[in-house]
Amino acid sequence: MKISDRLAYGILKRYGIETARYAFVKDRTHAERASKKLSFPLVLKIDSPEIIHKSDSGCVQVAFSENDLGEKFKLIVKNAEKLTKKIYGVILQERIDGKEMMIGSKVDEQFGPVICFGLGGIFVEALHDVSFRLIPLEKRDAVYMIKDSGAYDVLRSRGESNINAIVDTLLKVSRLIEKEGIRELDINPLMVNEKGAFAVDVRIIK
Amino acid sequence: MDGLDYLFKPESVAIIGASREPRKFGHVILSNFVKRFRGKVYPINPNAKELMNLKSYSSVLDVPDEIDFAVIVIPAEYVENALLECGKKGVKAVVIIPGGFSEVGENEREERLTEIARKYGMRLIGPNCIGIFDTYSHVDTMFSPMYKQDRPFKGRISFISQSGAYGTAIMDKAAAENMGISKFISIGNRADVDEIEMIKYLGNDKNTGVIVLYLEGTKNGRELFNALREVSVKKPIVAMKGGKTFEGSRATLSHTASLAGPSEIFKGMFRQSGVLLAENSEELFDFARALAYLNLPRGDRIQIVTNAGGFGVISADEIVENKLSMAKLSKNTIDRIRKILPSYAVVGNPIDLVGDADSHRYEKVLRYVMKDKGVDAVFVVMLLQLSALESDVVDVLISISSEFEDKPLVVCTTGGEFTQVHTRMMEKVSIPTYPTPERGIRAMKALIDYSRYRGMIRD
Repeated sequence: MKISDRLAYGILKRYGIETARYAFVKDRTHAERASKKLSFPLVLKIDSPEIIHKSDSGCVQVAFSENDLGEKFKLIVKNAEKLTKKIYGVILQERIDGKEMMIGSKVDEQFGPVICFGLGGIFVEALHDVSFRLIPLEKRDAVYMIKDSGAYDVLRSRGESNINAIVDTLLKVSRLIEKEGIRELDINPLMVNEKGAFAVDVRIIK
Repeated sequence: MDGLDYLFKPESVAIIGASREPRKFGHVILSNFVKRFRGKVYPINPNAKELMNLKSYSSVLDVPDEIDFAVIVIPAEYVENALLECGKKGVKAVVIIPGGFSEVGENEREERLTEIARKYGMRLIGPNCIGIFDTYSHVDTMFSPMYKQDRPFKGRISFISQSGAYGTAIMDKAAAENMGISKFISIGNRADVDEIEMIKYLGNDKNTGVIVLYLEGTKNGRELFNALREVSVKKPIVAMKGGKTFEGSRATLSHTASLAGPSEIFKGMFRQSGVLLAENSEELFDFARALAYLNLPRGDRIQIVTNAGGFGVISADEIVENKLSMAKLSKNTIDRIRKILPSYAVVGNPIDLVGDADSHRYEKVLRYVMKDKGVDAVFVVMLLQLSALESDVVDVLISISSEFEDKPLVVCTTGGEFTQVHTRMMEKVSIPTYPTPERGIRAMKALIDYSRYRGMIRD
């Protein structure tokens, strides 16, 4: 069962995994108030356990300014209500530029908890460029799993600093999985830029 | 001796199901032992008095002496009783050849074998396997007759295979190609000894320099991982996982679950434990040969020396493709090499010795290349079809390899019968030789990867 995004972001935070700045809101007024602490453009995402593929169903919207925030809020809730009544709220999130990577985890029948890293985005299944390791991860494992994936060539042009940020994030996710007993996790995309690595979307299945 | 030692170096052997019918497995196995094994051999067959000039017994219990090791090669339904008799006799280790157990759903029948083995403290290989082949002790339970399947000579490569037939074919091929083998173990259904225990055993075996592993699955992933990690810091392990296709379930909730096929996870686990991953069956032994014959390089800078321009180019492409480095020779080395080569030869990387190169030209150039501090390993391409290059180039390569043994030298030579004869000669003296630049460079990459894993190369 997918846990609420609000809780999922909370878990990431507890383990020191950086995320795009966000606020969790229940209604339109709440959204308008919360948006003042964030900078536009903002991405709106439905938080519902029933909606797994948000972008396919109009449950991700972008508000470019305060002026269209209300309208986009209305639209996203309307789209979500077509699918389910179970809606926890909406996540307002700052947009981050960078290279789209992913970190994931699952419990394998033969090996127990494993972690993966690779090129992210909505085409991950088509790209099929991820490398796996068993949890717990050591630093050296994290370095080599990045080097083993095709993402390494994409990252190399940006220098060592963002690779270190990914290594750091991988080690934190490894610890998180070990401690929290999570069945499946996707951080996709993990946006990587010169400032670091930021979880932009997370999905946790308990 | 440890329990598993009795599988590989017993002093006495019983063949339960020994037969006089030449086509029967029990005949082939008995004849293997009669021909080469130095210890005592006891044929067990209630319907024979004598087999191959040896007295035959109707049960191991009738044999007057001690028996270290037994091979059971009778139909599945009689195995339990035979094993029980082995237990009572005090046999220490047993190979059970026949199928008809868990692989066809007869799980209880197999569990009874495990129970008997535990009760009497016997170690079991199989059932449903080819068993064991050891070039040092001549334990040989391979049931393909020698005229159909050659036996390889002594070497440092040991092979653990979950598939028996594949292993048999590899042994035959190894013999034809002069690849030295230490042990071959077909683990079958793993009723007792599994790949994990065998990996640990070979990790401590002084006759094993490289472990090759063919696996389709494991019963205990974490223990396998730990065993591999423990052994790979002592000696190289090359592995391949069979059964790569994976029908990812479309209904998975996460991207990760849809990407996580068993092969992908095996691959990552192998990498994490320092195991060298072979993409196909050719690579398994391509890598193993390089690792068994050569010392580990101190860096990844490769110099190509060739007598064929095109092969030099392809080799350079492969070096780049595999993320290795092209060596850059010092000006001093280049000047010296220029002096001994004709003006139309190209000196750089690759060094093209051109088509009229003879073995002396190879020798002089290789000596300078080996002495250059910017070179960690050398890839020699030699096309033997060219009239100037004579067989004595093999002697040159032998002497250069042994003089500069800290810089691995890998050879690529492509061609027909004449070339293959030379390839076999070089294999025999432990110069790893490959028929294409692709395979040669991939083997070199395995060597470099392992060197890096062992901390001999720093990034």
